[in-house]
Amino acid sequence: MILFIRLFRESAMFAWTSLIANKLRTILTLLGITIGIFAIISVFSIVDALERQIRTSIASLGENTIYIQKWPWEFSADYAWWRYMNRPTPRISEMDDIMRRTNVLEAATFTAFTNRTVEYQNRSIDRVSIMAASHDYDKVRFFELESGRYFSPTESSAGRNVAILGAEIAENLFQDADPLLKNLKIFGRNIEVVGVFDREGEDTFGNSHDETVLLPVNFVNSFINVNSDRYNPAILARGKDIYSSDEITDELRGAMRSIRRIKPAADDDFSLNQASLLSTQFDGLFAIIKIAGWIIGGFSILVGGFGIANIMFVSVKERTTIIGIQKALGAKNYFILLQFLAEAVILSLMGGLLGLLLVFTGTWMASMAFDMNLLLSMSNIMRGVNVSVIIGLIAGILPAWSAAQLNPVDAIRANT
Amino acid sequence: MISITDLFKSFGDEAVLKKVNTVFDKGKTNLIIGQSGSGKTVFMKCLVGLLEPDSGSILYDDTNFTALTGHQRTDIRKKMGMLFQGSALFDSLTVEENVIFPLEMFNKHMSRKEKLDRANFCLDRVNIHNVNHLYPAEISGGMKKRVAIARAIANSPDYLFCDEPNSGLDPQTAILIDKLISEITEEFQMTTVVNTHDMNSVMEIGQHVVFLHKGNLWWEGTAEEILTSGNKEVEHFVYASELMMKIKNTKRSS
Repeated sequence: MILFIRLFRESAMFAWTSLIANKLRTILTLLGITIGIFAIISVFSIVDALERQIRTSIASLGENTIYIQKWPWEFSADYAWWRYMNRPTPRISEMDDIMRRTNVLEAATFTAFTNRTVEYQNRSIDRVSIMAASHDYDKVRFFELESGRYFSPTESSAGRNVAILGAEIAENLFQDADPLLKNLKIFGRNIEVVGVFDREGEDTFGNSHDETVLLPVNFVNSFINVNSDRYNPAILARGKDIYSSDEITDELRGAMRSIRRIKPAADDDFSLNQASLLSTQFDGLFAIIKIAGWIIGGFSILVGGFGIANIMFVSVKERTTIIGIQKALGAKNYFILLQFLAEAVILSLMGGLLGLLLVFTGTWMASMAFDMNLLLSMSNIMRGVNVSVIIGLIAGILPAWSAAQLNPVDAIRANT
Repeated sequence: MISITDLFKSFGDEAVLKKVNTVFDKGKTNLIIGQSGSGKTVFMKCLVGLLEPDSGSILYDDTNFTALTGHQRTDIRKKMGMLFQGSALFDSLTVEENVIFPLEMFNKHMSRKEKLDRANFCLDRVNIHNVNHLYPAEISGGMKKRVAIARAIANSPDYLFCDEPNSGLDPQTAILIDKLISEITEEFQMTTVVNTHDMNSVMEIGQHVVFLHKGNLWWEGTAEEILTSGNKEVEHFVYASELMMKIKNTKRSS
């Protein structure tokens, strides 16, 4: 083994001298592998970052949370949209019924949305997203408060005029002043600020409390009909962790059909939407992007592979003498084969590592410049290394085989 | 002993070896000489199995080498030592590792210590001391040649083939190498075949000289006999140099 390593070193040194002597040839050859690995691993790194972001977003929506709504989030190809038009919207009373009839839920909340102008003294912001939610909203959606508190049960049930502001709204409306216990004007009514959401930043689905004002649904319901279709009402039901997503969905479907007295043969008149469905849709998209990455990078790697094979053939030609001497002294074919294969793999690895270095630099710069969570993961490094090794093996096998099959006939007349 | 009978080899229409018959005896230094293109190299390649003769036979002691297939020849090949032109040591291996190389390749069951002992014995025999861990680039041309001889005899060969062993060496070192080859041939009772152009070598160690001309075995005999062969082609080859002409004239006048 030691002898093999030493002889391999001799081969490698020979190859290195040849590579250095033909710098341009070497660079052009390795460029194919470098660009290929760069393309593939870049795509994988970007997709990984997007996937991470989406999974974080889904986690914030609640992986075990089911949205009971009029409209589904995904439509099948044979979707007859007009059938959904006549569906009833979810109602607050239905949420209470669901909680009574099922025991698979941890909590449920009713939400409705509208856009209104929010005023404070002489400042105002138009078209602010106003969310009306029932009390258990904080048990279904996870968030942090920067200051203040959440609604008390009495405020929620009695429909008191209290609000929790998104960080962006609070900043724009109050600037440096403390918004707590200040009175805003929405819907022409005075509303007291009791809390401010922590800044969240927008996730992949655009979900964020930053530009939202949260009000108790019973307060909003006193002057607009939150069950109306135009306010996009929904019941958010969070299942207990001990139940699977399918069990919760089945239970909710049964409960809703029972509440709405739907006949056994009739279709549901509601949709049970789930965040995980979105991730499934993205999985397909990411798979396509990854395939595109493989194809683009694959062609480059193919060219690089040919280059390596070419260099290896030249290398075999240049070292016919030394191969012959080794064989004449008893070296077996596999011994010669391994030497050249190892050389091809190392050559390919050099190109691959250069590509990985470019990806690392690129991700680092992108992370610094665009505040992106891009990083070169260990799995992608291993992927790049593996691809390089495999290309090296494939590109090197033919030259190495030809070296191993060489007749030592020329060695006897060696000029060494 | 190597017995060659009716050895014939051609490339296309051109016959390079024309029914060569000779015997290389055990414990003797056998030299193949001849002008360029005379068929020496092809003869040597046929002997070691690097070229297949068209007809004829080569017997290594009692084994008909030409009748064996590639795989069956391995046992005979293990008994062959080879000294290449210009030493052909591996630059990345130390002197000791170079000598161990054929042991590693042919003796899988030999322990590391046994291999080291054998390498040191061979190096001692060729008078190489205290340079075991040096690389070929760090030793002189003569030493390289001696290391190459040590490597050639590492496997205790029965047959030793030397291709131009003196090429690139100064006359004094060349004589030392010639003598060393001759000594170890006698000491280890090997059948040694040397392919050479060098008349000094012929005169120094030529116990059995084979002269090839245009693919024919034109003449054979001892070193002493070559000077008085009476063969025109042999004389033309032997007295090609002025030095040899002077030797010839001195012999005649005396």
